[in-house]
Amino acid sequence: MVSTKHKKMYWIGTIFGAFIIFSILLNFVLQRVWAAPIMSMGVSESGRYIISAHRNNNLILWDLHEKKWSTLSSKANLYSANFVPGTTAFLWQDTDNVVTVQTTDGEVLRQFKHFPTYGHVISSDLKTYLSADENWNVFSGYGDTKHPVLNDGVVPGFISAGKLLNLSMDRNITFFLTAGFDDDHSAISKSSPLNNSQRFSKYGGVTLWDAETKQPVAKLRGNSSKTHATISPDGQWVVSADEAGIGLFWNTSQPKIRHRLASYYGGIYLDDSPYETGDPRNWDNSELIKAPPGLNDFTIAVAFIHNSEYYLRFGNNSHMAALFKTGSPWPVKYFDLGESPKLVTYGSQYSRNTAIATSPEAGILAMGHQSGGGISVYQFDPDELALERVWVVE
Amino acid sequence: MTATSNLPFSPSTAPLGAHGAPTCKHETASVLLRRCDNLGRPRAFINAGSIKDESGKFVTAEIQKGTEHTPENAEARFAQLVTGKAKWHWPAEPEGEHLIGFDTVSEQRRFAPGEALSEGVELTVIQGERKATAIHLPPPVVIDLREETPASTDLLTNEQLDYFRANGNNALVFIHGYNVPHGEWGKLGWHSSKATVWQDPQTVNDEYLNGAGAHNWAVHMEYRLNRAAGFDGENWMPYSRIINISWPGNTGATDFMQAELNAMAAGRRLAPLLQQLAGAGIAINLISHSLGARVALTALNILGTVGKPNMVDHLFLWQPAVADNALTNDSNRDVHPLGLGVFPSAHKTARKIVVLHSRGDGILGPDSNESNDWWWRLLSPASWAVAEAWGLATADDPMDEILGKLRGAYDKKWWTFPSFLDNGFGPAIEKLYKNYLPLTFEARPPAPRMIAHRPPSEVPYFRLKNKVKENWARLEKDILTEADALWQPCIDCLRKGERPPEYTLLAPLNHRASISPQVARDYVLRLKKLAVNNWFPEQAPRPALGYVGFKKITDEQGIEFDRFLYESMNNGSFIPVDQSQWLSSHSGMRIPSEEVFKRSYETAIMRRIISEGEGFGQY
Repeated sequence: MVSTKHKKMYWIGTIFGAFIIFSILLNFVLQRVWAAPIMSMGVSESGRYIISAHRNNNLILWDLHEKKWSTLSSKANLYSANFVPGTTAFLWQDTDNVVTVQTTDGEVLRQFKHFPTYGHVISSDLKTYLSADENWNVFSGYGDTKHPVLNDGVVPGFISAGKLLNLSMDRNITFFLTAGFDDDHSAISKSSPLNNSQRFSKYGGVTLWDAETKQPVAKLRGNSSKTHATISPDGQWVVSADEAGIGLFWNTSQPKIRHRLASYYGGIYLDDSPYETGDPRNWDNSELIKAPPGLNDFTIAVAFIHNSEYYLRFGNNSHMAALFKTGSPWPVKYFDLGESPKLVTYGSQYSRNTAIATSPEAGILAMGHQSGGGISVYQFDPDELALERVWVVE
Repeated sequence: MTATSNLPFSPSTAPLGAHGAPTCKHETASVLLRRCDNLGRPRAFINAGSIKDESGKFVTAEIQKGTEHTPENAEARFAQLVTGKAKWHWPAEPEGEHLIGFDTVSEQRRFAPGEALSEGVELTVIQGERKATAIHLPPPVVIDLREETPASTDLLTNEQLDYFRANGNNALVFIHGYNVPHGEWGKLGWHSSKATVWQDPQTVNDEYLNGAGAHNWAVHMEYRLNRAAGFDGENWMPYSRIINISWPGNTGATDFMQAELNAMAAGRRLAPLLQQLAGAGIAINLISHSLGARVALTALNILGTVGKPNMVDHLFLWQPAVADNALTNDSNRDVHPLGLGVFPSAHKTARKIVVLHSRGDGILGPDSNESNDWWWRLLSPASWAVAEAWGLATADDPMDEILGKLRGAYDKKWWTFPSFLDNGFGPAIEKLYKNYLPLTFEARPPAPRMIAHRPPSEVPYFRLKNKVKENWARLEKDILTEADALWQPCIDCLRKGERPPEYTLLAPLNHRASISPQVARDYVLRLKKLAVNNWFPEQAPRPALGYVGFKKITDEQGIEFDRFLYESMNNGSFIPVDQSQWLSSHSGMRIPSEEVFKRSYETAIMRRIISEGEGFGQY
């Protein structure tokens, strides 16, 4: 009798223990996303939804309100996830090269066959679609309406430049921007963007284009090596920064006037300074704010975080971001994005700069992680100039 | 072979008036063969080979005896040939000048080097005189800085200079890295003839086809650079030769400091070559690999010191095995105990300096391969060992991998392998000053007793101490004498574009244009300080530029922050290219992956040379 009772207790204990362990494991599994690192990402204008394409071709839709995510496809082009401005629709391409614009509810708004894209954007009215192929060629439209915008040599492109071509377009569909590698000093008038007889592209650096005519407006020069640039939602400002630590900005109404962003600890480099290289007088640090440790001028990406007023600059191997206000070269504030989990800014992952995305309207920033398919989401408060991490999935 | 026709028809090969006649009754004719290079310049015939005509007879040519490249010397006349189909067979002479084209009035044929060597070139002998042109690739250019040779051999010949002038008026100089022997050219397929261009080793061993040592690097680099510029790999007409520098960096695989000394001595000899090119108005681009950076930076530092600004258009330092602050303008930032870590004037000589670095380089730093995911770490040690062994066996450059297992051989550069744990600078210094040994003795407090009663065992100690003192006095005197004697001659030579004298006792300072008595005295002090420390440096070396790039030294918060380097990046003079994502070994550019080719060769190097610089050959 005693023995039977012991046995009963033993089995109850074993089952209970197994249940506890199972619950812990289930919880562990459910709290984590099982996908490869994010390669490209977009945030809806409302800030509620995030779409991400992962290295293992997963396409995941994240719901910030519900703190849930769902895998929509396991055949997504790594560089294709993006949101359509002003809508709840997102853009992606599958590995059969079909581009789809669909709402977060699953309604398909557009679907067409295209070449494998290495960066694409679409306007809110879905009428302007720009895409880059693997050789840096940029096209407008799709299907019968497709025509080349930039096709002037095989490099620098995605494979060659070590990063994909970054395309961005303002909300008014006035300008779009291409950015990739270095700059080029030849005049636009002397270098047609459709001259594919030459070996090397003349539009590798940051170039501002007219979104209507699809013609280059200005080459925005001064960056070095791998460069990321973006245009403000209202189309007034272009900001760029690169792997050499050079940060620049332009007003699109005066594209010939280049402004330097202040480096975090040194200030603004004065181009016309008469002093020898290395002389501290070559720098203006008059309006620098106190910078915390851990910042890095070598830049992975820049992204607008509050309409066209504020943007963030993300340094390589750094968990800090610098906040800038458009029109001013001086950093306004610095944010600690958190050391753990390690963000996509760590390592030499310049080709993953599209794993950083924002909704400037909602003040939402989403970032991929260095390894693993997780995501960190932040909310910007424009009144307090604060950035708070609101969701982390590992 | 590719052929294109100049005419809308092919000339008849049938001899007029001899239809149906036996071959012996065919009419005879001649062939006038001209020789030129791929730039169209006449090249003298040394041996024009022979033509086997339709009757099977071999006919040799009449050629001029002159070796100058005049139009007359570039002609060979084959007479008394039977009309009809014939074949031209030629010896692979001059050596290394491969046949790449054969033009007649009706046809242009193009060959890969060596392609038509066995079977000969078909041509049709027609009545009268058939004119044809044989097009050869110019010979390769290798400047050997290994042996003690007359200064003139460090320079290009007039003929070579003319070639680069005619070939776009630019020249690309390549300097190989550490531990590369001089080697030799490979063979053309199964022929005994030397191959001076890259051949596809799919079926035959790479070393057999593409040579060994510096020659192997030469054919690989020249080929890839041409491909990056636009050469399609089939039509060799636009192919450009580069200038390959061979220097004695093969110091037994482990004596890095000796290799550094050799690099600086070679850099001294390289400076006049750069002056020669610049003096001829030829634009220069320079690419160095690994410790070849020290050769390049020595030459540029010397030329920068004597006031030769922007002599080099682009300097590309590919995985440079020098300190990350090597390009600073401030010699006080040098942490090398003997003062050979920085090249303060080198930046003046190059318009742009591009640093291609990678964290995947297991030689220059601990390999931080980002692909080593958690699953990899979970593998059992046995599986790991098997995988590593497989990695070694399949590595392109096994020495890379073996040295990489030491978790970054460069960090240990102040040690001497294999006894790197306990020797410090000792072996290299003692080799350098072998006539002044001993220079150290084991210091210990004198015994508290009268000298007269010193036990016999202490007598050698005092003798040794005195001997060391004498040696130091003698060495110091000789070092100062050398500095005095060579100071002005060095400056004079460099001003005249001649090879500057090489320092022997002051060899660690050979990267300087000249050494003033004050610098020499400072050097002696450094040397003594090192000796007191039993040849051990007090500071660790700075990380390699080829591993970290400028990232550490331009960290504005760091105590090592170098404003000059930081500013040079901001004004676009220094350009970092982080290749960590695609270059995963120290010598991965020799046989590059597609990614390395596209991202490093095409985008980071050739695009700059062609689009922003002075061009590459005719591109």
